[in-house]
Amino acid sequence: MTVIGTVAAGTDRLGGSGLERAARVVLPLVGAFAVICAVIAGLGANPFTVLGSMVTGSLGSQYDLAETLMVTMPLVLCGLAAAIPFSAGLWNIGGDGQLYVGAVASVLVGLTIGTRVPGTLLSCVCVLAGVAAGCLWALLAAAVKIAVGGNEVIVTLMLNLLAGLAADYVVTGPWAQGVSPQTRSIPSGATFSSFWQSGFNVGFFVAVAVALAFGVFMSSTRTGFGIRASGRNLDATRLAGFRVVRLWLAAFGLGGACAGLAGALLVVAVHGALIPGMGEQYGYTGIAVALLAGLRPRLVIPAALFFAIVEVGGSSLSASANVSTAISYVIEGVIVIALLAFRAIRVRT
Amino acid sequence: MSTSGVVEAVVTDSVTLMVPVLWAAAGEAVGEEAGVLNIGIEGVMLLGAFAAAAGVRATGSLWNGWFLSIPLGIVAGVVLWFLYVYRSCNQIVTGILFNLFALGVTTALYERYLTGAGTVTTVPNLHVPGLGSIPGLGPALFDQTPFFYLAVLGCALLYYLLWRSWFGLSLRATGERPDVSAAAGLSVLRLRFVAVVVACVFAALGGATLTVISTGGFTIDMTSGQGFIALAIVILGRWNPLWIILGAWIFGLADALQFQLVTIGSLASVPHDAWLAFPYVITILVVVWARGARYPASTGLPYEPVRRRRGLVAQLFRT
Repeated sequence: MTVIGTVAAGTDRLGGSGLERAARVVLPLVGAFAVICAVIAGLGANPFTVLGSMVTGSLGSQYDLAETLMVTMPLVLCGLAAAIPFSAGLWNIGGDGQLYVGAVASVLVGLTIGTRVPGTLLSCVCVLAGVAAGCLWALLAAAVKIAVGGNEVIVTLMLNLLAGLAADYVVTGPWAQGVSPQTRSIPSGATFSSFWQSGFNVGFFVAVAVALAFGVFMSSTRTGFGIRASGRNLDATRLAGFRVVRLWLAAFGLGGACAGLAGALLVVAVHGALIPGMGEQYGYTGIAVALLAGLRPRLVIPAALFFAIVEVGGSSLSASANVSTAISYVIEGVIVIALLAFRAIRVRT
Repeated sequence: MSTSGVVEAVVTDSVTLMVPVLWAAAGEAVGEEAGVLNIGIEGVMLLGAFAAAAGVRATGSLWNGWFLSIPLGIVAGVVLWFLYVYRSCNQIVTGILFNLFALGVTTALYERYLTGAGTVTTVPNLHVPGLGSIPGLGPALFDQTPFFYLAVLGCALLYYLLWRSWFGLSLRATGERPDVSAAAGLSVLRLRFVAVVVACVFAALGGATLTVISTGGFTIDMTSGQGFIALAIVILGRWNPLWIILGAWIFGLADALQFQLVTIGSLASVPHDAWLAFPYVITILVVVWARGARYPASTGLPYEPVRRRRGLVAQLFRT
């Protein structure tokens, strides 16, 4: 099973016998399953029917599978946005906001220079604008942390809310489309063209490539090592000759860039415009993804795929089972909390 | 409206609007002094707001709804204590995931059971005779919803509990040096249990207050970051529930300004979202400005007492 495989691989030197290790993963999953079933039953639906239709709704056909892979894309990137700073012991809760400023920047650039720049170049510029915006938004929180030692959790949470308001303003402001609450679409030449079902396009492979690249970066470069080291022992990292301030800026900036890329790709590869609520809590789900992957960039890919199945399965529900799509947040939260509680996943403090 | 009329309306509104965050922040101060940083406060507020709305829908009384959030706060407190303290999970990620869970549960339950128009009710203001007629501050402070007076009473109670009683001294000791407190014979697990449950009950009451001052209805994600703002208010009030009243009022003021300033003609062109951003910007400024504020030494750190190695079952259920 993907889930257990992921979890077992992502666990951080559990210790104990094989039986104990297996129990640490199986018991919380059983507990989480019981809680999820109870919540679904509380909504007046049959848990097994609902969970079954979630699986068929996300993997049942080529169309559904393509949609699941396209949802995997932002989840991989938001997972990285959490995993990289978390490795440095920095709590970047700001994936949500970094995603939205990325999307805002990407749309604004696309609409402003759209008529003057040819399609392929334009999509590159839009993506870069999103990456830069997400990076800068995260560096804002890093600056507060470094300059005055402020709590980065509160700052990134506030930056999320501010980015949400900025997106709201852009959607209703001078760039509004007029009919439905969204911005005008960027020129169609700039959006990625689909070559399979359900709008599946190259954006998915971009996300996977970024995750693999960060896998190499974190394990085989000096800066990647420094980031991981600073999460374990700050003094030792400093004594080893690293400049901790630079490592923190790198960790926050790279994390923010990933989330900004997620926002830009949601515009360029999925919607072609900025739509309110298109972030779908991906930033927060990304934290769950990063934890399930044990903060390892390569394992973020299967973890994101698992949560994408939950998300797409959840959004297929409201029509068939009269259960809200919000049930996917319950499933994500309960599974990861249970794994944390049984120490199948450990996070250093 | 005349300028003095606007000022009076802003002041009165600010006192009403500060009540939800005041409850949440006062409770959070107790949790943090005992060493638990409850990022899940937003989720607990949301659950409290939902419980109140469900109670109002079921019984038709705002007071019943408000009180219904207390048992829910206790349940949330026990669950979060189990995770934060008993299982010593990382408090930041557990809290964030709890918020995601609370958002999911309240949204799903709301869409299933509470959509459609409910009865709109309000609790009459409690007019303190004499004092309420003082021009200027009178209506703002002495002609308020009863929840305001209850919140101030709650803060006074927590102030006594936290800073003037032996119990509070023990509580604060566990927040500074849990190992030393344990060596002195205090039970860190029990003291933190009380602290987390108190924090969650107050947060749930804050959420419930949000429901009752908005005529008993629930909307998806209706707390919109108020729990996180409470975290900043605690810093602003330096973990003292009485100073927290003043800190919460600043945010009430920021909230009230957005309702009143849009009525001034020359400001009508400012986008609505800019007013909504006010409290969030102030929160960041508070974090920057309060660089001298020091969290209790063990806030946010899990406490792992030294224990002997036990059997398989004990290992799994007891850290």
